Amino acid sequence: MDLKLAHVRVDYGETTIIHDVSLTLRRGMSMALVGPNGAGKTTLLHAISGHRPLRAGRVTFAGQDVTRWSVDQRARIGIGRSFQGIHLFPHLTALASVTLAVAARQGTLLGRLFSRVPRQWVEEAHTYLAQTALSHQANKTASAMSHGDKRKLELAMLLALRPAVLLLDEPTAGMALAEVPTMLALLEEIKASGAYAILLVEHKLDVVFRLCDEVVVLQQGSILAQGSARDVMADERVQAAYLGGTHGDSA
Amino acid sequence: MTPRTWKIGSLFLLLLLAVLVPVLFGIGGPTNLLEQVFAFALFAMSYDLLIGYTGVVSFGHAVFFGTGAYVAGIFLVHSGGSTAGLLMGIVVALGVSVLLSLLIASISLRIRTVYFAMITLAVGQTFYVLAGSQMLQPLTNADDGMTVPLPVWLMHDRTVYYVTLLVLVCCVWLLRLFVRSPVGQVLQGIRENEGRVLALGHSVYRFKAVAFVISGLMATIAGILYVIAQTFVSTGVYDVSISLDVLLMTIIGGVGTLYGGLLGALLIIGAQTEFTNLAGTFPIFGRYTILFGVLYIVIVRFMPRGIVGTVAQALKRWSGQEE
Ligand SMILES: Nc1ncnc2c1ncn2[C@@H]1O[C@H](COP(=O)(O)OP(=O)(O)OP(=O)(O)O)[C@@H](O)[C@H]1O
Ligand SMILES: [Mg+2]
Repeated sequence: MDLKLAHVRVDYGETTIIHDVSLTLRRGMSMALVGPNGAGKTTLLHAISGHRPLRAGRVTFAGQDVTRWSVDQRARIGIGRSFQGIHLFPHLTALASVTLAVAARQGTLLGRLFSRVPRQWVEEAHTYLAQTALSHQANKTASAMSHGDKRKLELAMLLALRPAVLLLDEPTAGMALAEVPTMLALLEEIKASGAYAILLVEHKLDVVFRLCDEVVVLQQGSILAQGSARDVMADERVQAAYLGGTHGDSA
Repeated sequence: MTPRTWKIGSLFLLLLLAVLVPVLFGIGGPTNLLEQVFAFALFAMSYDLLIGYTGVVSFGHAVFFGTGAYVAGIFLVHSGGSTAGLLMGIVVALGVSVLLSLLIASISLRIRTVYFAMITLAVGQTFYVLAGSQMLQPLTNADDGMTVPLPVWLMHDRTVYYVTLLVLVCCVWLLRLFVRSPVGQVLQGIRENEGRVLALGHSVYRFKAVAFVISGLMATIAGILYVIAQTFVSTGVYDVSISLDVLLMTIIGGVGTLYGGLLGALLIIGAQTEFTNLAGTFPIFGRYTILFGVLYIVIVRFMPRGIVGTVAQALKRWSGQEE
């Protein structure tokens, strides 16, 4: 179930945002994608999830070329992602939101036009809420939740898809400091399960060190360095480009 | 009492009232009016399925209502009002409705919402023109419209009343099942955040198409009820103003509440009739559309959830189930 990027290039209009990026992500592995603001981290996730077309290169998953697949097709074969900004269903409850994710694994649903939502799906949704410490919020609408809980809900929905690949775009961004450890523990648990290939975009270096085996540094859309967390952070070019850069978040 | 018991209780009460109307007020004026209300209530609810549940706007939903009315009308007229003619009319109308919605969906639902609204409007206008064209005069009687004979067993006002009520109740029940089904849940997700539904791996286009087909079928049934109740059909059923009336009913009743359409239809049709009557003595009431315009603005501005939505929210708060 490898995810492979080969010479990926992504443009916005006339500007090339991602230049010739190649990566391989394996099950059980967690890779951090770091780099200054505007380096193209989110854009690279867009390229993998299908939110942005490739200008050149290929994305393959489990041996299939998915380069031209749509967002929903990619999600269905196991490429799951979260979003940097809050991207939820404002007026649906947490339970309903996660149930929608569970339902996404059940085929076209066209045979269920007039039948109830199976209790089994709802129960399963409850387990993902429990896993993300949201059980007590099950009947709250997303818009009424705290920012930290919204982030957790985002993760609960993602896990409910049972994806093979987790693309996480700054899962702790904007969270209150007190809430970060819960999220971190959750992510560690997810990683320890060994069930996923994880690509984590993260500014907080302590999070990166704790969670990731491998680090990729992106700068202006190109890979500047790649390797174990310690080696990469010791790299002079990385220190110059990244740590010396304008980064308040990593302190 | 929970909001749920309130909802079920009031629906039951409404149904009971509806059943008793012929007994309490007799047959004729009130039942004729209510038959129209039933047809439009179903039409408004079918519309709510699109704008309230799926977040898709159509300006030409009358194309389904009109097709239901015309196809059933044509079959009844040309079969001399036989039961077989009525049944065939129903089957053909539903078939045409499915084909039409799939066709419109395939050319316009994939692209942006605005196009969909435009295409539905254009198709609606095309049918309006066709229904009134001299070329089709032998089939539709063109601009003059058709007086539609009914099968003998449907001749009594009381029968027509209870048949339309029964059909309405069945359709409401089906709609209720539909919005609570997994598919209905996905549709609400699409209304809330289409992109997120897509990222979960749901084929958004397919779900929108399903919503459109079901909504179109319900509007078609509403058209059939209308022609049975009125025993007359003319190009008016394809008029844009009917689509707008129904939008108004849905908004007044409450977008995304399903049952709002029931109340909206009752209020608008009741008011239209009342004002038309009053206009006989006070000509000023003939201008009631202006009043509707004002009402529309007031509701959108101060009660964006419509009557049913606002009441439901108040009950929720009252019973301590804060959102
Ligand atoms: N919709 C868009 N249209 C045009 N340019 C865009 C768009 N989205 C992003 N960009 C540009 O692409 C570049 C990379 O943006 P991207 O969001 O991928 O950066 P990032 O590494 O995720 O940054 P951050 O750390 O701030 O999230 C930026 O220069 C940005 O201005
Ligand atoms: Mg980003």
